[in-house]
Amino acid sequence: MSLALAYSDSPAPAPYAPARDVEIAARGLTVSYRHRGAVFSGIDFDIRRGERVALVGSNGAGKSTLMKTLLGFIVPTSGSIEMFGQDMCAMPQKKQRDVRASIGFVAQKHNLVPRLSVLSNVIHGTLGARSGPRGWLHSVASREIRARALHALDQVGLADLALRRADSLSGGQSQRVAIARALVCEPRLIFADEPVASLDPAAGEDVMQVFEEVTRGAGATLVFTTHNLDHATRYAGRVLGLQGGTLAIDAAVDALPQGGLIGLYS
Amino acid sequence: MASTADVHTRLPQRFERPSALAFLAYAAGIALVVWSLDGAGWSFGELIRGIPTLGDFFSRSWPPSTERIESLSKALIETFQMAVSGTLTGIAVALPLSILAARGLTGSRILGTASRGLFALFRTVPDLVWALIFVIAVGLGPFAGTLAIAVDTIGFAGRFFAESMEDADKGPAEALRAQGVRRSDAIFCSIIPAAMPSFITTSLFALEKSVRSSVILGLVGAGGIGLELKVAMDMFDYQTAATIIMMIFVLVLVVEQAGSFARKRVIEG
Ligand SMILES: Nc1ncnc2c1ncn2[C@@H]1O[C@H](COP(=O)(O)OP(=O)(O)OP(=O)(O)O)[C@@H](O)[C@H]1O
Ligand SMILES: [Mg+2]
Repeated sequence: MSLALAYSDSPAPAPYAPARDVEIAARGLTVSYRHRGAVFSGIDFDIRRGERVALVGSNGAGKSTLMKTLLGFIVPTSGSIEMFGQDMCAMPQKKQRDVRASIGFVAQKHNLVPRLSVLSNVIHGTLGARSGPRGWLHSVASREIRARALHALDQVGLADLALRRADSLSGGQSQRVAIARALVCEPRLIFADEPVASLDPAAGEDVMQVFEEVTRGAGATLVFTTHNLDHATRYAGRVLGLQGGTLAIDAAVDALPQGGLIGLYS
Repeated sequence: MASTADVHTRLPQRFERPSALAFLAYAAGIALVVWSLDGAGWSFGELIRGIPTLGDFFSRSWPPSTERIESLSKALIETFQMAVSGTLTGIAVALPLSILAARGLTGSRILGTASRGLFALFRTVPDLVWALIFVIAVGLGPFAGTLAIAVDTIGFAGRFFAESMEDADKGPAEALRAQGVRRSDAIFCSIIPAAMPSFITTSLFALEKSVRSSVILGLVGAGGIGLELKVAMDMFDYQTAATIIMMIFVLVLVVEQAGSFARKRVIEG
């Protein structure tokens, strides 16, 4: 895989950064929505470069909330987050956006703009790095950007569909295009919130495999949520389990507690 | 399992007995209708007495006169041009304002409230009143009508543009924002394309509406065929008036048919 990641120019680690290759460091993280108790409180974890982490927990356990908090969209009530060695909560919006620009994001569904071409949708992924009208539609994008988008589509095996309208794709194809859109900005970290929840088992397997390949090939870090415990243990190296507002499980896949993960759902 | 007989006894009433409040509301509604009919001078007698006069009008307007067909056609074309240019101007102003007006898009409450207020003002003041104002401002003629139509279109299209953007799926924009894409880029590359079919159908409706109102605007001197109609009526030249009415009918019909054809294509595509 030729997708080179520009790790060399990653921001210099803050003096209190825990370790050099820690991409995400959460300390004492507590989040509560208004008129509601804490979703989770006092959560600590480090995620290192190149790790593949599955985030599991029952409906409403706070998986999506945790991801949004790490991305800076939700301000934690207390605790701290460091993304790539920078304090996410203390930085201005513009700086947060720069941090996000090196993150790829894939959601459960409704990911793509339905009326636009697949290629345009992938090109949108470059807007974080370079804003402006040339990133809105493939027909006005620069040659270099179009080539990068096509390369990203190649990686998910869909280069042939570049000019198809996004709403003519199957669910599995759509998710692979969403992965290409996440890859096109050469992210060092990919967040995927239930990326296969609306796919059939075969397409889901397919998409998880694409995730595995592209993150392994690029040396990127992957954090995904899932309700499929089989996926969690097969495609991740480590599992974080949220339950009752705490991190009930934080273990390598081969060191999971007796009885596995099913206890999270009781 | 319950027996059939049991189910029969538990069947809900077909109609619920109205509450005291609902009863009052019905009574008030009926009173409103009676009061309005009375105040508006509704009278079957007058209507029936008016029929012969109406017949007289129709007989005197037949056959429609083709004498001034050339200058009338010019006026009709001017009407159409007013409608098109006014609608386009209105849409061009409404688009950027509607982005501000759509809730939850730009995050600026003050600008959002201000532009929604402007749309409401433009909509609630009738187009004829706008035409009167613009005739004072820029003088008699089609430009005053064009401006009146533009203002009317801003109020109409702006509101629907904003609503269709509020209804558009926010998923793609949110996914992009998570990758560091600016709000403005996300609006232009995902919200607007998603709302585009609705923008187009709204614009076509606005054009149809403008064609109908551009006819009326001539009555107050804001250009187009309306003035010709008023003059013909005032001079009891019913044969010319009949021609004008038929021309208007054809123009409105053609624009509406073309509009609904184009809308169908947009919705299917
Ligand atoms: N915007 C919000 N305002 C208030 N409460 C919210 C909001 N979003 C989520 N919550 C609440 O926070 C809790 C965690 O929700 P979250 O969506 O993070 O769970 P989840 O683990 O992602 O669940 P799922 O598996 O269903 O996606 C839930 O109880 C939910 O009702
Ligand atoms: Mg969720």
